[in-house]
Amino acid sequence: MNGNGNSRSSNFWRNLLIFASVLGPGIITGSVDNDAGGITTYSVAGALYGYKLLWTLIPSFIVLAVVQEMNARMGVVTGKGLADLIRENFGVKITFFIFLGLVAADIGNTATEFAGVAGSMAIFGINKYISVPIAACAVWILVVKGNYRIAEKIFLLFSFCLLSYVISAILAKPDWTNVGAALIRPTMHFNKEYLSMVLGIVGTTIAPWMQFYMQSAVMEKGLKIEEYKFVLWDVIIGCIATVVVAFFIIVACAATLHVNGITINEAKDAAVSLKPFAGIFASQLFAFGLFVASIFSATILPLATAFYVCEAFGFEAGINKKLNEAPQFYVLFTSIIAIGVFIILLPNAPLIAITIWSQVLNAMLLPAVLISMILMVNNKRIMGKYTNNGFQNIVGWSTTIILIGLTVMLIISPMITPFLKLFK
Amino acid sequence: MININDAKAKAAAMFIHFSQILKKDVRDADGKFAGSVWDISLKLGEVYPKTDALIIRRGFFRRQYACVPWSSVSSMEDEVILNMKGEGLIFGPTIKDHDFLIKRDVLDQQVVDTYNHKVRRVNDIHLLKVDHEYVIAHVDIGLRSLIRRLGWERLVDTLVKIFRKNSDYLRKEELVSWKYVQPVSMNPASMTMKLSVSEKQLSSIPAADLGDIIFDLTPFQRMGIFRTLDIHTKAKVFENLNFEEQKAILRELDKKEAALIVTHMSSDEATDLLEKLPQGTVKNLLTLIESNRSKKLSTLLGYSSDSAGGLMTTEFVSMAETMTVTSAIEYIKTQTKDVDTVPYIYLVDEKNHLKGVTTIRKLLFADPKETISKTVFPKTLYVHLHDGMKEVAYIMDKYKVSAIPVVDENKVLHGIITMDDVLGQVIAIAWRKRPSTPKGA
Repeated sequence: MNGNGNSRSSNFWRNLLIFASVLGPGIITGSVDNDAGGITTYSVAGALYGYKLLWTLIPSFIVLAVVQEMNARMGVVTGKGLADLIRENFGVKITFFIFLGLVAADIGNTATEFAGVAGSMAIFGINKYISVPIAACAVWILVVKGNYRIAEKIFLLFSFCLLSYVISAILAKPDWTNVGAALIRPTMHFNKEYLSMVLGIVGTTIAPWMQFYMQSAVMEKGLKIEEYKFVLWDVIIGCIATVVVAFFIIVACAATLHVNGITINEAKDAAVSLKPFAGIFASQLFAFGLFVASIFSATILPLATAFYVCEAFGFEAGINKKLNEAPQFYVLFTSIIAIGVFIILLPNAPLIAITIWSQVLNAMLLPAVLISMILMVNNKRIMGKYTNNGFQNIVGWSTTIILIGLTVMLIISPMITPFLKLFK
Repeated sequence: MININDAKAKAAAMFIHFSQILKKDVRDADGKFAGSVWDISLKLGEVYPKTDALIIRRGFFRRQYACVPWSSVSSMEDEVILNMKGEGLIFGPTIKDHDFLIKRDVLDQQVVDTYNHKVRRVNDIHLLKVDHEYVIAHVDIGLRSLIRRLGWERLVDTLVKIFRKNSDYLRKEELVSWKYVQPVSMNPASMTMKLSVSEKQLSSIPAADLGDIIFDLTPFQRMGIFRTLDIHTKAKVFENLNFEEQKAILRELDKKEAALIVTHMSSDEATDLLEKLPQGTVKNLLTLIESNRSKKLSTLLGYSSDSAGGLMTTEFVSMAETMTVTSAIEYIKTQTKDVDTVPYIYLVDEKNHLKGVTTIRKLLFADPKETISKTVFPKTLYVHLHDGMKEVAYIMDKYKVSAIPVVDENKVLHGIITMDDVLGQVIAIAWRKRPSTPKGA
């Protein structure tokens, strides 16, 4: 049913056109990846350890690309969401516990997004008791009464704003030779803080809920296996965007905050602290990027979470259904936002603890999600001839094992550090 | 009261939940452990299929499976007891290919509920004990069955009883009779769908609902179901889809199949579709469509879509004005099966000029020997090919007719416009303010 363009140039244009129509899932997922939690983690890492942790971005990129490629492939081949597949292949119990963890982590993550909204708006002098409720209502109305599909496209356009971090980083005048060296020469310290930072970076780069989001996005586009090479490019571009933004955030914070010995706890602090070193413009750019990322993720996260839970347990779901048709869906969606907002508006809310705990939950969930993904993607009954190849399995399994290892080390490191000191 | 409870207790004893059989220990005739229940295979072909074989699994890291014919299962209580020796079981690393396995193909999967016209996810399955065998009776889609699978039924039941003794949660089970269940599991090798007896039930679903249902399924399941429909149902379902959905289906079909569907669609719906498709595709399709039909369609394609010519359908009943009432009725009975709009009959001369309009009702009450031209309405209403949609709607509303003929400058009859064609356009305009059409009612 295609046109009959045989010449090379028309082929090129046709490919470009197909690519443009396929484009989206990977790039949106990549942008959502750099949400408030991600920006916080990267800025704290940059402020605390300087360029030292830059190397983690390379393995993060490989893992992210391999995992998302598996998701995209599963979505294209099966036409099903990850939640569907887990329920169909592992039964109710496993599904229930994965989703219990996912909902808990996502409530924490949503709270972090609203913290991002509060923080970034504070830079522009707006109180959190004004900015957060308004943002939450806007998000709710957008999804329930408005047109989410169009909003998604606007967000996608907005995600170019994340490139503002590149400018912030350049304004910070980093030492590029040090940056290059840190990128290729890994440094490892076996203490709790450093390990949790490494785990935090990897964990925030590949959050479990994104696997669900990615696969559903691919599925919803109704992409076909013939278009697979374009899907692959979409995934790779998305991953590159994620890692590049992360890179510049770390560099910006390392060049200014770390050099001057300033430690921070929140992404907002980074924006504030940038001001004396890189100027007000860099500071506001940083805050603006944070705001866009936060509101984008605050929309997608509760929506996606509500959707997967309903999908897995067979409740009606979807933004084109009315409230009385899909009550569970709307109740879940609304409660996740409400709880998230409530946590943020509590006076003296333990923001840092919430961020850390939702990251830890993410990191603990990730192996469970990855193991079920790898088992399914190697199942011939599900994937036919599109099962994993050796390389994909090696990367997949070693990621899972390393993540489990890091999590275990993080938990037991307070116990073993005294012993490690003995050998020094 | 007591009797009812007794009957209930009896019924409960006869029904068994599939989830409670799963993972039960299996012992051979000597009481030796043989493995645990993995799945049950069914004999398809009846309305309520019987159990055919038991699949046993043993080992955890190196799983092995064996298949036991149902005649070798002697009892199924707390444990499953076989009437054969464990040595007789042949274990292998994979499950032999069975037609239909309950766990693999139904439990936790999506099925089409052909009674409520919805896609459901199966939480549990009710098996009914009949003599020595079991038949599949219902699928359970309720919340309580989910809680049972988690192993919290007693706890949650007790909690609910404390708060509301008569809650629906405890009293009502959400079951769908197997008669109305259409599984959608696919054979991954042949990409075909196993159809149960309920296949017939699928075509009983109104085409608009069936369209919604198949778009709740995955693309493969969607095409699996779509392919099983007969060509008339296919065309009807296809007519009811929006353009994006039609495109999604067209991508999966080869050109011949696509042409066949377009051939069976009513000409106005077919024109609507062709207008939106790229030129090359339309040319391709038209060459594959039977020549009379494709000529008609190409003519229709020539009119702008909101003019009378673009709105009209070419399926209508026209007769020579000289016919008698008797032969006219006979003609309607035998020749007009494919035409949707029969109430109006259009009278034409030998050169197809519109001469008058009559109705079946008028014919039925007329003198059988008269010519039909005596039965026509005093005023013949019509619109011109290039009249706009608004004019058409205005005339139809003013004279309260449900269909109106379309003629050219020479008053030659080309087609008719029915109420639903106009309604479709009006609704489209009314809904333009909304981004997407609402789904479900």
